[in-house]
This record gives sequence, structure tokens and C-alpha cells, in this order.
Amino acid sequence: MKTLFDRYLVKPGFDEMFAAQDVPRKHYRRLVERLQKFPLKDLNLKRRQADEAFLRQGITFTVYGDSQQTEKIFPFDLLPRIIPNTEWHIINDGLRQRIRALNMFLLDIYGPQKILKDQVIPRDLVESSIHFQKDLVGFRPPKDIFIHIGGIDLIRDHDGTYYVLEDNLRTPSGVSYVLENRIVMKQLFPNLFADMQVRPVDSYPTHLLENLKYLSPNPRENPAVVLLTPGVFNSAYFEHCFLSLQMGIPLVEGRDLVVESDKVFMKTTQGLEQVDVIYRRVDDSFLDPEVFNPDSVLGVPGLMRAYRAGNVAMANGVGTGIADDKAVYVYVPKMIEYYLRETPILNNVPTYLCQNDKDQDYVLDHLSSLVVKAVAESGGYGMLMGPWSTTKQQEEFRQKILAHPRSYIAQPVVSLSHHPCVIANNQDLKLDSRHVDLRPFVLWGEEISVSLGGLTRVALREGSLVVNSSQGGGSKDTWVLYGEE
Amino acid sequence: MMLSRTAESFFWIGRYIERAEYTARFTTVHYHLLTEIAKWDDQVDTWRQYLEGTGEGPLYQELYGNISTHSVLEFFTLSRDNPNSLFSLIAAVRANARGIQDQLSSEVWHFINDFYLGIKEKTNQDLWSDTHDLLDHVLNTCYTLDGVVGSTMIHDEGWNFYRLGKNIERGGRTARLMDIPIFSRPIVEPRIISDYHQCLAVLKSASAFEAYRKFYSAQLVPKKIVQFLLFHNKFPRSVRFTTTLNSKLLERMVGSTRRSETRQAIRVAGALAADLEFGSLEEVYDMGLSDFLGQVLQQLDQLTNLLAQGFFRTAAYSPDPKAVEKASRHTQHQSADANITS
Repeated sequence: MKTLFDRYLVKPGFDEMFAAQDVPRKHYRRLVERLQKFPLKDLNLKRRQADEAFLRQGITFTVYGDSQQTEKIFPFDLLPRIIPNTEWHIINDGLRQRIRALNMFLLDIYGPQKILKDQVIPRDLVESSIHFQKDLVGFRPPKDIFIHIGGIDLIRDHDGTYYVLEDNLRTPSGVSYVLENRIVMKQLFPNLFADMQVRPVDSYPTHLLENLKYLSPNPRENPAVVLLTPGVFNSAYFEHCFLSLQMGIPLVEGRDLVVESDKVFMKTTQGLEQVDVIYRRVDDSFLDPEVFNPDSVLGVPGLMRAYRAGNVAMANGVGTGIADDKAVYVYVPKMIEYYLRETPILNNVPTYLCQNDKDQDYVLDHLSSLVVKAVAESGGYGMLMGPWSTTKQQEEFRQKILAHPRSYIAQPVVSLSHHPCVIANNQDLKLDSRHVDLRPFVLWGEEISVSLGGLTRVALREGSLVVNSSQGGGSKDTWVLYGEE
Repeated sequence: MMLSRTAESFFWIGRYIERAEYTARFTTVHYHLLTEIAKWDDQVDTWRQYLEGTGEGPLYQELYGNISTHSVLEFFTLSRDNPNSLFSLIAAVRANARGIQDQLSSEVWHFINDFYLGIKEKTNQDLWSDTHDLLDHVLNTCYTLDGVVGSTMIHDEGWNFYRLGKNIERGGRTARLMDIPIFSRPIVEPRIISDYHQCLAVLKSASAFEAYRKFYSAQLVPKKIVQFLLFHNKFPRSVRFTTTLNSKLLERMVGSTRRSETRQAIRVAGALAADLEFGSLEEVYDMGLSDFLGQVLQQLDQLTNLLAQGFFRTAAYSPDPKAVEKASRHTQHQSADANITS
């Protein structure tokens, strides 16, 4: 009988599942044993069932720039990614440490600005960031928490060491796939889970809701918490629906809210109802047309007045974007040392700041081997992938960097770890390895908690390092084990 | 308590579903009648009358020009350009449902999503190869959807608005069906075959043929048909039945209302219900059937407007939906779709 792993070839680099050809890592051993008895043709069926389940439930994202408003499913790979307990502990500790330092940084920047006065971080780097909300200096968010939800992107290099690639501290998305992937996985392979010692992921919405209620500035037994979405055209709309359903809170759009006497109300069929806490999935610049983008129709006029008056709490806090600016990222290890007097548990990827002359010279000399990123962007926009770029593209970036050095950073190409995936090969299925990353979610309320595992994203295109869903990216269920195997 | 926007979406889901159901039935009925018509002219005439009856004549003219069975069928079923084609209506139901997904039972959402995904895949090829099958599928799916909504959703405010939408649409559609010349002329019995067919088409379009026969045997008398479709108190698609139900649904909300527009909506619905409850066929014909029907439609529009002011928008602030769409796409968010390369 043909089995799954018969033709699987372990490639160079760090394979998550196999230590060497035909030698699974300890924590994957049980899974490999089980799957070996699994006929390939059954897997094909499961694959189709998974796709249908996602499409039918509307677990889709909208492709931007497409007049047909095509909705696509985020492809789901059947083979789970497994993280043993000790490894998870390191990640868990590293993330908590990082989030604590980042939150302290925000409190400091929007407060006494000691880290700038002590010249640990250059003042102009902070003040020149478009995500720095200088009007909020002096404002303290409820319970001194800015970062209620963080999505930290981790990658592993050729020896399996974890690095932080990016901090997402504004409106990170993807957690709905973590939960849905697990649900679908359990439906498709109920028997696979037995004896696997997989830790559950489903407490996330409960934690999040508790944390949101904790923020309520108004003493009420049952604070009114809402989720503010940009609406059905937003590519993460499914997630907004999903989370509000899971938490049992209203999903509102800007037009559903109104501010009167610096208080926020939602418009209901029976009049106005006050809102205490807003889990907002709308960017800072769209929140309030009175303060930010005057053309924004997604936001609520007066929302910032209500926020500053302390009548409503928002998660994440306004102004967190300064902490995930890609140039400020370079200084996160220093923040950890400065605020916590600790050594960073998770390291950064080496990064060149084009603002520094020395770095800039190096970057301009090595455009063809580096990855250049625009600091204020996210979602993979405004990037140059050196080794795969044309000289024309490199020239464009050279001009951009020379014109706006503050706006660009560069990093060496890290060859991400890879993981076997089920790949359709004409009518046949085969296993082949694809690059992966990991986005765990960190929640902060009365205490900090980390989602067990997170979202493993896969670059499904062969050789690609890009997990962007519009470019053939997908995801996997991610298992954190109770033990080591 | 319910978000105004949610209430509005429930209302329009009800309306669009009912409209799709009517359109599918209406089109099926005419399609079947035409299969037995020999003369080309009759075919064109029937479709012309059909287009006029639905008020879609001008748009059709603009999009297709000449009348042909193929074009008319496409116009009413799969056309992307006609906002009242089956495709557009189901897409609108789905868009509304998507916006209030958190308020729907997952059964309802999956059903609507499936419905949409199914019709989205349909091509003209499917339409020509089995017109009946396509229309029948849509019709049955609309019926079933109503059942899924009724049996899996909480019968609270949202359900009330859904039913209000469905009923207002239904009453209006039935009223429009009767607004054709053979019903207005006081003739006793249809003589030429096409009149007979028109009567038959009207009854079948309101799925009233079988019900009508139970009361008046198989004789198709225009006045009796009008009597039946306007005033019958047990037939769910008669205008009277729908206006009575509208009034009842609105009265249920009386307790919760504080606004003058909502009180006025209740008054308008009540007055319309009373007109049909106590009105007679003689009065209708004295006034002129067409005028009477026009008045009913006008009052239904007024009711819709009052609902919009009273329940759907508690404040005047309501941005342009196109602008919302644009901004919403452009809102940068830290998507899980992001690149991970470094």
C-alpha cells in the first residue's frame, strides 16, 4: 500500500517534522505512525471535505483590487504542525517578556518619555513615525494597558532557532483560523486526536471577553462590549463575525455608533444604548473623522473625545502602531533590557536601519541580496525581495531609500523552516515541504495569556517564502503538546 | 434590543427573498404558458405585458432592446445588470446576511451562503438546458429558506422585521399582479384564449390557482379572482391577509417604541388593514381597480419609509454606502495574509 511518507524527500534547511530522511522528530513520531496507515486516496477526500466546509461556512477572505469581489478560502493543509511542551515554554516566556516591554514602551512614550531622554532610542525615530499619536502624550489608557491583543510573527532559521520577525500590535488578525482549523481538523480526523496529547485552543474567545470586560471604565455588572468592524468589504470580516459570535457581543460598524456628551452609544430599534468597551478592528486613522482622517466614514465622529474623557475603553489602545513600526522594531531588544533588566528570550532578525548612514551604505550596496521593507506598512506591501527582484525594481528602491531613509529597513533573507504539506500533483497527491511561520496571539487583561500555538501559515507555492493568501498562502492546525512527544 | 442596522437587514432579507420567490414563480408560469403558444406575436406580447407588469420594461429595453424569450429569461434570472434578477436578489440577501452573520443562526447563514454560491455558478448554458429546473430550484429554495429561518431563529425582533419585510413585499406583489387591463374592464367572463391564460397566469403567479379553485371551482372569472386576491382572509398571499399581518406585527412592537415615526407606522399599517378588512369589491370598482391598487402600493411604500425612519436609523448620520465600501477595503489591518518573508 502506498503511504503518505513513501516518497517524501527531506530538503535542506530546517524540516519541522523530520530530523533526517525517514527519521521523524520525537514529537512527530506518533503522528507519522498513525498517518502511515492512512491511504492517500482517503486523504484526498478529506481535503475536499475541508475545502467545502470552509467555503460553505463563508470562512473566506476578500481579494482586494478585484472588481468581482472574489472571496477565497484560506487554503488549509491537513498535516498539523506540532510544538512540544518545552519548546512552547520558551516561546511563551519570550512573548510575555516582549509584550510587557512593548507595553511599557508605549506607556513611556505617551508619558514621561524616559527612554528618549536617556537616549536609548533616538527621539526623532519615534516622533517621525506616522503611527505616533503625539496628541495622546499624557494620556493613560484604562488599566495602563495599550496592547490587549498582539500577534507576534515568529520564524525559524536553518538550525530551528526562533526569531521574531514582526510585532503586530494594532489590529492583528488570524485567530479565527486557529480556532476554525482545529474544529475542522477534529471533524475530519476524530481518531487522530486520541492519545496525541494535544492542548485545546478554544478558550481564546472567553479569555478575550473577560479581558475586554475588565477594561470597562463604568462600574456595571455586565459592561456593554462591542466589536467594531470596518464592514463586510474588509478582508478580515469573517473573523470579526466569528469573534463577536463566539463572545456573544454585538458586531457594530461605525454608522451604528454615535457619540453624545462624550459617551458612546449604539443605535438600536429601541433608542440609544451606552457602550463601555470597544474591541476595534478599525485602524487608528479611520476611528474618528473629527481627529484623524476627515473623510473616514468607517469611524465615529467624537469617538476620541469619549476615549480621552475615559468614558469608553478601546482595545487595542490608540497609538500602538508606534511600537510595531518596523524601524522601532530594531530597538525592542534594548527596550527589554531597559525596562525589564532582562535578556531577550526571543531574538530579532538582524535589521539595517536605512536612516543610519552606515546601514544605508550597506543596504544600497547589497540590494540584490536583502529584503527591504517600508516601515509603516503591513501586510507585505511596499517590499523588495532582493534575490528575486529585477535591477529596475532595485533602482526604484534605491531612489526611495535615498529620498526617505527613515521609511525603510532591510533584513537578510532568512530561509524559513519548512514542513511537509499535502500537495495536489495532477490527479495525485504527494507530500512536499513548504515554508512556514507562526503567529501566536498574546492577550492582556488582568494577566497575560498566550494562545496555545497560534496560526501556522504556509507558503504553498513551491520554494516561496511568501505566505500571503493572495499568493498561494495557506494555514495549518498547530498543536502544542502537553508533553514532549 | 437590536441594532438598527440589524433590524434593517432582517427586513430586507425578508423582502428580497419574497421578491425572488415571486420572480421565480412568475417567470416559471409565463415560461410554461408560452410553451403552448404557437404564434410568435403572442409570445412577444406576453413577455411585453410581463415586463410592464413588473415595472422592469425600461431597464430591459435599455439592456436588450428587442424582446425574445431567451433575453427575457436571462434578464430575470442570471443577469448581473438587473438589480431585480434572481441572481442579484439572492446576492443582496446574502450581502445583508453577511453583514449580520453574528445575528443569524448558523443554519440560516449556511443555507443562504449555499444558495448564493449555487446560483453564482449557474451559466446561461444551465439556463437554456433546463430552464424549468433552475427556476424550480430557486422557488423551492426560497420556500425552504423561510422554513429554516422560522424553525432555527429566535422569534424576537429580528424575526418580526424579517416577516414585516416579507409581508410588505408579498402584499405589494399580489397587488401589482392584478393591475392589468382584463381585471379593470368589467367583463364577466374571458372569451379569448389569451384572456383565459392571463387569468391563469395571475393566479398561478400568486400560487393561488389551487386555492381559488377550492372556493370558486375552475371557472376563471376576473372579478372573482380580484375578490379572492384582494380580500380573502385565509389565503396567505391575499392583500388583506398581508396587511392584517403587518398590522399585528407592528402592534407587537408598540410596547417598545418611543418615537413618533414608529407610532405613525403603526397607524398607517392599521389603517391599511382596516381598508381591506372592511372594504368591498363594489367600492374598489367604484374607485377604479387600478387606482385602488395604486393607493395600496403607495401606503406600503409609506410604511417602509416610516419603518426606515422609526426603527432603522435612530439618528440622521448615515454615510454613503459606496464610500463605506471604498474606505473599508483600504483600511489597513494586520492581516494574517501578510507576507512573512524577511
